[in-house]
Amino acid sequence: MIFDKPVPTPAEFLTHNGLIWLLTIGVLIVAATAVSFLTTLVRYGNFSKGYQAFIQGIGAVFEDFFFLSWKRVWAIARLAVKESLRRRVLFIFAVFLVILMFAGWFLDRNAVDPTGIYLAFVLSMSTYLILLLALFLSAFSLPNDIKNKTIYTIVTKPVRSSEIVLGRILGFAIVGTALLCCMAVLSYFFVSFQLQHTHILTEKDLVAQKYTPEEQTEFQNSGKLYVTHTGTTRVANGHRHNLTVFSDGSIQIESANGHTHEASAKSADSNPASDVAGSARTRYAISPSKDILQARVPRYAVSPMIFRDDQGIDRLKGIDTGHEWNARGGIGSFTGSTNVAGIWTFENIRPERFPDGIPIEMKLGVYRTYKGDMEKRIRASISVRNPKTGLSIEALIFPTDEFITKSALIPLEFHDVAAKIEQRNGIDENNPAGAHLVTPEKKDESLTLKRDFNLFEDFVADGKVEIWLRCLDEQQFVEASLYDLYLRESDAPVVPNFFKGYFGIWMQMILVISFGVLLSTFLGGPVAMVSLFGVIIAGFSKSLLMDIAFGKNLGGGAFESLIRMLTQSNLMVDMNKSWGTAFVIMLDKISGGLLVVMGQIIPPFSDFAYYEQALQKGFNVPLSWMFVHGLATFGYVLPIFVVGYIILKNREVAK
Amino acid sequence: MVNNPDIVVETKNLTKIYRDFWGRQKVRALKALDLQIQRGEIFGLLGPNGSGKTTTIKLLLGLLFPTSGEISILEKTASDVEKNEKIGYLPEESYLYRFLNAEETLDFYGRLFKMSGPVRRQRVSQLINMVGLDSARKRQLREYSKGMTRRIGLAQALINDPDLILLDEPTSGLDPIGTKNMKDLILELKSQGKTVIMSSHLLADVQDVCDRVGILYQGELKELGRVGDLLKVSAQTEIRAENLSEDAKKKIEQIIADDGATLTFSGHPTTTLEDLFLNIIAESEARPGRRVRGGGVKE
Repeated sequence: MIFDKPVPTPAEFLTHNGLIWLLTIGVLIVAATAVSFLTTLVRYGNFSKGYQAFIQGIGAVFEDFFFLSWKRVWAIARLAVKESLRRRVLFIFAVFLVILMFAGWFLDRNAVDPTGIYLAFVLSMSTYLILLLALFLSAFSLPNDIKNKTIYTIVTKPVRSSEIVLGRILGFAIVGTALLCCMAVLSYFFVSFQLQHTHILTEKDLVAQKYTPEEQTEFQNSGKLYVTHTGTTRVANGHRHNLTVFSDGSIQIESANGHTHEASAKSADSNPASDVAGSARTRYAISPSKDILQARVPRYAVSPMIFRDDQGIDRLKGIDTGHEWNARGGIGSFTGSTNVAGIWTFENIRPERFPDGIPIEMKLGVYRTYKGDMEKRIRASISVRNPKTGLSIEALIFPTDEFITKSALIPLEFHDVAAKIEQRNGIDENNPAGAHLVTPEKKDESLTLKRDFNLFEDFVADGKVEIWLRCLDEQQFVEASLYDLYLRESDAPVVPNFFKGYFGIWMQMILVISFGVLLSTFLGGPVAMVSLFGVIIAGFSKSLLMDIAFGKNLGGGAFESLIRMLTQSNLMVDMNKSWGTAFVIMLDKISGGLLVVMGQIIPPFSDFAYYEQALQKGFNVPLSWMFVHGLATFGYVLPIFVVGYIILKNREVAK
Repeated sequence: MVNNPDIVVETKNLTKIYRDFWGRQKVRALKALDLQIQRGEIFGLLGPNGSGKTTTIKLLLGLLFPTSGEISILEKTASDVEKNEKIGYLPEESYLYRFLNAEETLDFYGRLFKMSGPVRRQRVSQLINMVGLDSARKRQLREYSKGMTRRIGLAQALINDPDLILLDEPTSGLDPIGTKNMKDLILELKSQGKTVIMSSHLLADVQDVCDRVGILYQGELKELGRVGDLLKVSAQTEIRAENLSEDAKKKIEQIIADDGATLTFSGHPTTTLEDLFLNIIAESEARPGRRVRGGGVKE
């Protein structure tokens, strides 16, 4: 969907990130042990005494973890909650409430995707407020205790430093969680009520279908449903819906701006239902908007997506349409070749999962060359292909829309049509940028003859099916990436998904609180707060920092960029080869190395944006994400807690 | 260190040097302190401001780390948190959470000792009653007067029924009645077999309650011993009598003169202001609304 970088599966995460985590922790432990050993030696000035003290210290550390009392942790957590409440933390909630009260004035209900705008607003509002709160609470609490010397009466009770640190983190987490839950509930009602609307529909908005008398009698004799009227509703929230009235009086409303309605017609007289539509005495009822919030569960194709070029060669990259920032490739041809296609392969497609056909959804980009007609929408087609027999059939032709998610259903049956055989060329794994032709296998051409086809019998082999997207207009291009076309397998319940979206904010809050408590174990309140702010900013720009660290961005690292700015040299031009530039590049390598090390410590706040985006774009938040990110958060909190404890234990609180 | 259960606190060569950020020596707060405190005694640390009394107490509690020297407190090291199970500490000023009320404060500290709910509730009301804060138990500490804060601080120090109680300037900021109550309480604790270490610069307080005192000056221990011994002036004798007739007084003066000794003072004793004040308060409470006449101690 929205991501260039997919979220790892739990198994991938545990094996890959888990190992990195263990390694980082191992290095930290070894370093910390070495440093504390040396400082103990220096302090005692005598090896055997220092060694003894060090061993005792290690024993004390283990004791502080294994004899940690949850009762005391809870007592301290309770205190932190009380402290927050008495410091009028709930005021933040009032601020949130007031903002929501007036937000309706400024948010555009008439936009193409109002739900996205509303959700973006409430989510970022909640994020800012809750992170600010976490920032202030966690950075000031412990320094205040030390400043007011209330810590004296705590540490002279049998309280371990580990319990103080953990209790604080827990206490503030409780306050923040409660507040965030309130915000989520409020946001949910805000979004659903603000966007709730209905449309007016009268007989004046309907146009009767014209049929010849022969058609009319044929329809009536066959007993099949037929269209009696078409029309559009009146405008509400800046849009109308197209609709179709059928011969049995049922009304089908097309979706617009990401939602739909239900409609029914009722005669004011006691007329039979079939005569209702179009009559002046008919009253139409349109339901409140449906599906404002969605939780689509997408099924993505297996990687990689294939781009077939106009020579019929399969490649991993489409035509470059100038999008630097995403993985999309262009599908289309300058020569009008019909070879060009984007190919997605889906696996594990079973008829029992898709009883009505295969529902697909696409969000395609459109790239127009000047040769096209600007007024006309670009047409594209979807074909399904059996990966085994090579049998392929054109299932849909449709005009594309930019920025809008298009839904379509690949039908179960194709009646009285001819199919064709498409050959696939293997991809050279060793040369993924290019490809090479392999001699096509001989396929059974007799399958293609004009007849009835069944989707699952003819086009799905061992649960595998290929979907081919073609641009039908010459010299125009459709853009897509692996995640831009997916099967809409099912929908998850909307309300739980809304709260799952808030889970991303929750984890950010937990990280801020933990880092805040850690920093406050050795810094004064204001300094801890500013440092924490720095950590948050670094966390949000972690991917940029990592690109700089690994030398991935154009124009080199900080020092090289500085030279380029001063000499006004282009990003793409190589630097002059001299000892000076070699020195600068070396400086960048060193600072890059430091950044890499730092990057292991900085939490990736930007990863949590996935949750907001999933919610905004109407996708289900998979539990596997929550597991992976939850575990990653825990992976940060645990060492933070340990480090915070060690610092606090070795600090003279009475100084 | 000696493993003698009768020695509650022992320090050897205890030294604390305060340093600045760069490690430069700022002040030697305590110089090579050797101290032994026995179970069941009231020990007073006496000295002017800045002499190292509070530093000593903080070192004993592990709030500060010694620069050198050793501490054994309840047979444990000062950095061992488990020693705190049996210690009560009243800081110089009561550093308590001002957003809690008296009950919540004591409840919180009780939780830190892992007391069960019923025990905690019983102990909390008992202590509030003992320090006389019944009427203010639901008020936030921010509204407390200095004396009340002191009293809740004391209650907090006793929540765990400690064996060893460290009181830093226990009478500072208290009115004479408060001081008297505090002193009575300290003696009461002693009678329960508890050990008390208190610091003070008010000599009268120390004199009244302490069994032994150590006098600190500029971080050095100048004098250590039993209060009685330290204050006894062996060359003088004091005789007190009630309703002595002028005749008898003359006779006594004669006997002294006959013995060859010198009479240095004879007359009616004056009471201390503290005694006077306490007496007036006692009178007023016995007969409210009347101006208290006369002075003099009635014991």
